[in-house]
Amino acid sequence: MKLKDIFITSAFTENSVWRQILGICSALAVTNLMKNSLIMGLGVIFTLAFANLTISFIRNWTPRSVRMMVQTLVIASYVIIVDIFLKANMPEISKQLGPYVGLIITNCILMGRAEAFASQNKPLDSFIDGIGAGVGYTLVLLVISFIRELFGFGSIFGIQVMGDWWTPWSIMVMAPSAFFILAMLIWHINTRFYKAKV
Amino acid sequence: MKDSFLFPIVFMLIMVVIFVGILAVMYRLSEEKIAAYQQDVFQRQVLALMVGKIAEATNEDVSAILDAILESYELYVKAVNTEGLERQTFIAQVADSTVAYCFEIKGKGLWGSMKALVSTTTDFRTIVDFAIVEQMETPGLGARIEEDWFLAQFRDRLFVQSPDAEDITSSYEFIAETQVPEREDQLKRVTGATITSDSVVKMLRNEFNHIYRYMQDYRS
Amino acid sequence: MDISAFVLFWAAIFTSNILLTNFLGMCSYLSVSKEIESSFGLGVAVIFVLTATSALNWLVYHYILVPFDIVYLQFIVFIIVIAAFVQFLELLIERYAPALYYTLGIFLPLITVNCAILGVSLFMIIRSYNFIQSIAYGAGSGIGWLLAILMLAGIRRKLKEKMVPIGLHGAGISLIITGIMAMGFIGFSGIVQIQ
Repeated sequence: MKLKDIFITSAFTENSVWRQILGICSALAVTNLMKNSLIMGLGVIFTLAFANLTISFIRNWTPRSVRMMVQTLVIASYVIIVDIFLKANMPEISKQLGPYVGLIITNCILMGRAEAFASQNKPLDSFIDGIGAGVGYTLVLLVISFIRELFGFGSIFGIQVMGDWWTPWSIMVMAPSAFFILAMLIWHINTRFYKAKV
Repeated sequence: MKDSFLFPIVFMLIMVVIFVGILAVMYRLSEEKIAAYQQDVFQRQVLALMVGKIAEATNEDVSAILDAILESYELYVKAVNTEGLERQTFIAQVADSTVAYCFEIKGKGLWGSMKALVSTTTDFRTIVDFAIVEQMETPGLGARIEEDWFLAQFRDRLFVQSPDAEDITSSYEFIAETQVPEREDQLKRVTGATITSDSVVKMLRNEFNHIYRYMQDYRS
Repeated sequence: MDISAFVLFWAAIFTSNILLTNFLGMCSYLSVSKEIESSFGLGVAVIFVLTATSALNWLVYHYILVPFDIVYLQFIVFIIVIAAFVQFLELLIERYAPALYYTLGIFLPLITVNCAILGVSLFMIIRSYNFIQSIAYGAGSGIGWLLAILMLAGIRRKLKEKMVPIGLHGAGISLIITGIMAMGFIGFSGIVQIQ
């Protein structure tokens, strides 16, 4: 398979969020501001890509019995690297994301890609697959947070776009809106691109 | 070799050593940067809370003082030893006379402890400025107590209204975020976070009762 | 920090339900909620593991990580404690209660990757709870999670006979139901005012 195909498959056609319903936990909690979503998404892309690369690199030496533990260890290490990096260089964002950075570890997408792709494929392919899956995930985060931030705060990336006349919708800041928007997104994608018959 | 009993254990150990090693090095390298940043943020906040009073006394521009944060902090702000108060105390001094006090105060919110900084006038009765340093409230709801419109309600407020009474502060009535306060004792609360808004006022009242009494003794 | 453990327990179930307000534990919540029986089984397992691991992780954090100044390794250590505990529990149940193993055992591997478990451990450290508070928060979160998944499973059973747009089948409609449930739970906001 060509690298481009691998990327497109894991980012769009077999996107983890809307096709496999994985990784929703950490997907929703940080989506009330676009900036947080973007940073979270970048963290996931980084972790996915490098965890996939590492796991694929050592796949021929990894004994079956400790496979899961090694994968968890690799993923957790990269997440800690992201955490330390954010704390040192972007402390404001690190404070806002709080424990959700740590929760990247339990994001099912990471284990899913490691198990389904990286443990059977070449390092470079796995690396691209990781980036693809991460980009697909980030895309979903950005779409949801775009809607939530626009209606909830009247801003995009923290820049006020709605005038004074705009009354922010409190519901968009609160949890339920994230569920609704994601459901609508999945509905739309299913009928539009996967030809689910109505 | 891959099938032997020991191999998985040895492999796992090697992996743990490698990764923990990498992490340890990374962490030690950024440790100083993290600590320095935290201190910087704290100093900036302390200075910002008292900058109004400093500017008044020196006739300087507020932004000019804030821009030269390191020099200004050195020049005007001093940590004071208030033994027994158990709260970090800072004073702002201009030409050897104190213009404002700043206290680090603590309270509890719905989800965990809160830390805040409050600056007062030299008679400890009026709040000069107020900022939340640390809180664990729900993002988007209770966490909005950090927003400026909420904090601004406490700015320049005569908080210790009856210095001789049992409770030296007075109670407040909460109104909805969208309403406009009609009386002095009305405060706007954060929508959907009644408990958190209430906790902030409770914290201020408790701490003022404590600090006011302590500082009266401290000064005499 | 002195919020009573009792208040925290109720708050974790209702006002700040781990699933409905913090979005944790969604993966297994969406995939298992097709049947009430399995939802209940998984929910009970989650309560048990959550309570036990929040206690264990609290001890590990305060007696191992802090004294040795390796707090930055907490993610790795927590997830290993959780994985090890679940593995241990699986062995124990298989050995001594085979009947229980057949009903609960299949859910245990799912729990290690349930973000709610790690989430609670991280939250309790960040919010600096003491030991009793951590246990109360862990147990409350577990019960809240059980409550949420049971409600969804019940509603989904009723929905089986109803017409749902095909594009919304499965995850889509579950998310919408969850959203409505989350809105309902906002109504609980006032009840834990007894601080």
